[in-house]
Amino acid sequence: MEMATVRHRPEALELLEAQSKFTKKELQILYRGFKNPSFLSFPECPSGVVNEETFKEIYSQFFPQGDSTNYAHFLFNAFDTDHNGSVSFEDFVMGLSILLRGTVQEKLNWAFNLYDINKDGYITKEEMLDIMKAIYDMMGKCTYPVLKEDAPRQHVETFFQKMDKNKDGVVTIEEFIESCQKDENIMRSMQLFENVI
Amino acid sequence: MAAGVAAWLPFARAAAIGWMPVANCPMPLAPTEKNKRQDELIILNVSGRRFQTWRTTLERYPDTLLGSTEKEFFFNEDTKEYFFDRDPEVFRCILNFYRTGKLHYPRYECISAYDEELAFYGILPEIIGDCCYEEYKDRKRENAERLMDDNDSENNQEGSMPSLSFRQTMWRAFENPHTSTLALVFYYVTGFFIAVSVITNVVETVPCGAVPGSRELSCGERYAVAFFCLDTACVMIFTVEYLLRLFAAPSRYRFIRSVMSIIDVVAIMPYYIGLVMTNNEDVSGAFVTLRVFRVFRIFKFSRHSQGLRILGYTLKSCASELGFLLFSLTMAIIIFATVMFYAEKGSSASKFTSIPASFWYTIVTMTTLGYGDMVPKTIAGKIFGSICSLSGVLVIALPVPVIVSNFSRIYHQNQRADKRRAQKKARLARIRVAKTGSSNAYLHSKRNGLLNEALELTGSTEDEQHVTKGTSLIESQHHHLLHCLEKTTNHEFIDEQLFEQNCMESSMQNYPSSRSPSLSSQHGLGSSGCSRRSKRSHLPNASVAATRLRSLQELSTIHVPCSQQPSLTTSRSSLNMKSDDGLRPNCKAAQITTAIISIPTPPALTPEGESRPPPSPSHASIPTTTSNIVKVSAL
Repeated sequence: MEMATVRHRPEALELLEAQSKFTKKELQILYRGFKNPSFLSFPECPSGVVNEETFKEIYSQFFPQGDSTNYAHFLFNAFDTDHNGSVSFEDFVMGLSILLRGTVQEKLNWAFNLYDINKDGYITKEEMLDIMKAIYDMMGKCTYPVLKEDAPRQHVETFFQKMDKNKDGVVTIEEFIESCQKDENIMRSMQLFENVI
Repeated sequence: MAAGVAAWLPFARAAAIGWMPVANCPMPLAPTEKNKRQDELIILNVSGRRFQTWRTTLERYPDTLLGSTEKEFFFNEDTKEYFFDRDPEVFRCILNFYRTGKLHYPRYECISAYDEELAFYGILPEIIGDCCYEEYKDRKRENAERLMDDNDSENNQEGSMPSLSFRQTMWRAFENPHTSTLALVFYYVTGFFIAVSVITNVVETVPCGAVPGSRELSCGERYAVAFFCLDTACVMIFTVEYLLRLFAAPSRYRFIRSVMSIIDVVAIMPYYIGLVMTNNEDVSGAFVTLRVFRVFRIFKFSRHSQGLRILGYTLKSCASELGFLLFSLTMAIIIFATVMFYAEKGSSASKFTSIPASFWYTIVTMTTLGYGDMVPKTIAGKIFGSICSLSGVLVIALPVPVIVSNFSRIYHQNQRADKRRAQKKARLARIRVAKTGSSNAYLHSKRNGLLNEALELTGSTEDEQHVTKGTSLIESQHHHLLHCLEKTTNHEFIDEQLFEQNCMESSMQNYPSSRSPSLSSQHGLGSSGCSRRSKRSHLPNASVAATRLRSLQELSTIHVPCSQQPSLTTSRSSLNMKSDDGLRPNCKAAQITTAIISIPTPPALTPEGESRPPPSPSHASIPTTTSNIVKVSAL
C-alpha cells in the first residue's frame, strides 16, 4: 500500500490571511482540523487535500440517522472550485470565508452555485429535485411524520413558486437573490452561522 | 545536497580564494542573503515535551511540514513556540531525521501509527535508512496482508447482492458452502462420495476369501459388479460437479488451469478411459497403471479441509527451503554412497555392487531408518557408515524448523482471519449502537430543551439548572445543526420505537374499526397552550412508564402530539407569550404530569364516536385542552 506521494503544501499563512476574512488564529484552528480528521475509519488520508471519499465520510459523522452521501457530493463540488477532484486547504478556506464572513450577497451566490449542479447559471426543477432528495435523505427513515415519496417534489414546487418570478421553469441568479432578499426568514437565517469558529 | 555537507559550504567558498590570482575574467557577484536572519533556536512543543533545534536544521528539508511555512499554522503566539498535538515518541525519530539525515523506524512502534505520523509531517517513508528499512517493509507487508484479509472477507460477506446472476450465485455457492443450505448439502454430498470412492479403491484390493478351487481373490474381483456400480456412481457425481464448476466459473480458462480442476480431471479420467478400452489387451497393462490415478481423488478433500489447503500453501511458500533440503541431501547422498562403495569394495559378497546401489543404503541410513538389508562389513565401511548416519540427522534437522515456522505463521493468520470475521459482526453492531447513541443524544437533548423552556417560562429557576447540565458547546452546536435540518424539511427525528409505533398505528388506521382512534382527528386538537416553538415533544419515557402502569389494559399507546398545525416554520415566543401567561400553571402541571402519567383524551373529536370506553383515569384534573401530550389507549 503506497503512501500518496503528492504532498500538498498550503499557501503561506499571511497570504491566506490576506485573501480570506479569517484571522491567523482562526486559520490555525481550521488547518489543524483539516489536516488531521482523526476519526476517519480508514488509515490512509493524503495529507494536505481532502478527496471526495474523505469528505463524504466526515460529513456523514454528523448525520447518523440518514444517508448524507448525496448531499456531501454536491457540497464537495461546491467547495472544489477548480474541479480537480480534491479540496485543498485554500479551497476550504475560501469557501468558509464566504460562508461565514461574506456578505449576504456572496452567501446567496454560494447557495445558488450549490443548487446549480451543472453550473450553467440556471437552476432547473430537476437540479432542485436532486438537491432536495439529497437533503431529505439525510433525515433517514425514522421521522415524524412519516416521510412520503413525493415530499421532496412538493417542496421543490413550493420553492419554484416562490423563486421563479417569470414562471419560465428555471430560476436565474437574479430571481434567486431578489426572492431571497424579500424573505425575512431566509435573510435572518443567513446570519445564523457567523460564530462558528 | 546532503544535510551535513551544507555546513561545509563556507569552507569551500573560502578556499575559492585560491583561484582568484589565476582567474582571467572578473568573478560574478556574490548572492546576497535576502533575509539574513540570525539562526535562531525554535521550540517545538509536542504534547508537552519541548524539543529545541535550530531553524536551519529544519529548513534542510523544505518539502516537509517542519521545513516549510506550513509550520506557521501551528505557531502559538502567546508562548512563541510551535505546538503539535501529536505523539512525542515518534517525533523524536522525526527530529533526528532532520539532524542526521537518516530516518529510523523504532521497532516497538505500531506500523500504522508511524505511517500516520510520517504522513502528517510530510515525510516519505522511502527515506528510511537501510538499517531499519527491512524491518519497516516486513511490518508493512504484514499489515497489508491483514488488511487485505479484512477486505476480502468484507467483500465475501457483502451478502444480499441482489443483482447476482445465476452463474455467479452458483460460483459463490461452490466457493463458500455456508452461504446457502443447498450449497452446504452439495458440499457434504461430494465429501461423502469422495470418501466412498477412496474407501472403495482401498477395499477393492483386500483379499476376500477364496473361492474353492482357485486362488485367493481380492474383493474387487469377487464382487466386480458391485464395485463397478459404486465406481460409476462416484464418477458420475464427480463429473457433474466438475461440469457445474466449469459452467459457473467466472474465468473458465483460469479455472481449467487451476490445481483443483486438474486433480478433478485426473481423478475421473481413468474411468472413462477404462470404459473406452475395456477389451483391448495391448493397453490393458497401461490401463491398470491408470487406475493408480484414482487415488488422486483423495486430494479432492482439500476443498473440504482448511488444514490441507494450509499445508499445501505452506509447502508452496517454502519452496526454496525444500529445494535447499533436497539439494543438500542429494549432495550428501552422493558423497557417502561413493565413499561406502569404495570402502566396501574389498569385502566379499558385498551388497554394495555399485554407487547407485549404495544410494539406497545412504538414504536409509541418513534418515535413520536403518532397514538392515544392506550393512557394511569392513571396518572402514562401518566408520563411514556411522559418520553418514550422524550427518544425516543434522542435514535433515536444519531446514525443517523453517518450514514449521512458515506453517505456523500461515496457520495463525488463518485463525486470525476467522476470528476477525466473527468479531466483525459484533463490531458492526457496536458501531450501529454508537450511531443510534448519538442520535438518541439529540432526541434526549430536544426533550430536555423543551422541558427547559417550560420551566424557564414558569420561572422555576432551580429546576432549570439541572436540566442544562453538561452538554458541551460542540454537542449543542451539533444539535442545532440537526434541528436546522428538521426545520428545513418540516420533519422531525424520532427514535425507532416511536417510528414503529407510528407505522403500526397508521396501518391500523386503514381499518375502519371503531377500536382505534384515528390520528388525523386528534391533530385538530390541542390549542396553543404549552407548545412553545411548536415543537412536538415525544416523551418515550412517559409512554414506557405509563405502559408499565397500564399493561393490562392497553394494547398500545399512541402518542398524539398537539400543536399549532399550520405554522410549522415560524412561531416565535412572542406569539405564545400572551396565551402562555394565562395557562402557565396548567402548562407546568401538564408538562410535569406528562412525564408520569397519561392524560386522557379530550372530549370526543373522534368521528367514530364513543364506541370505545373512556381512557384510563387521570390522576389530576387537568383541562385537556392544554395538554401537550395526549395519550390514547387503544383497547
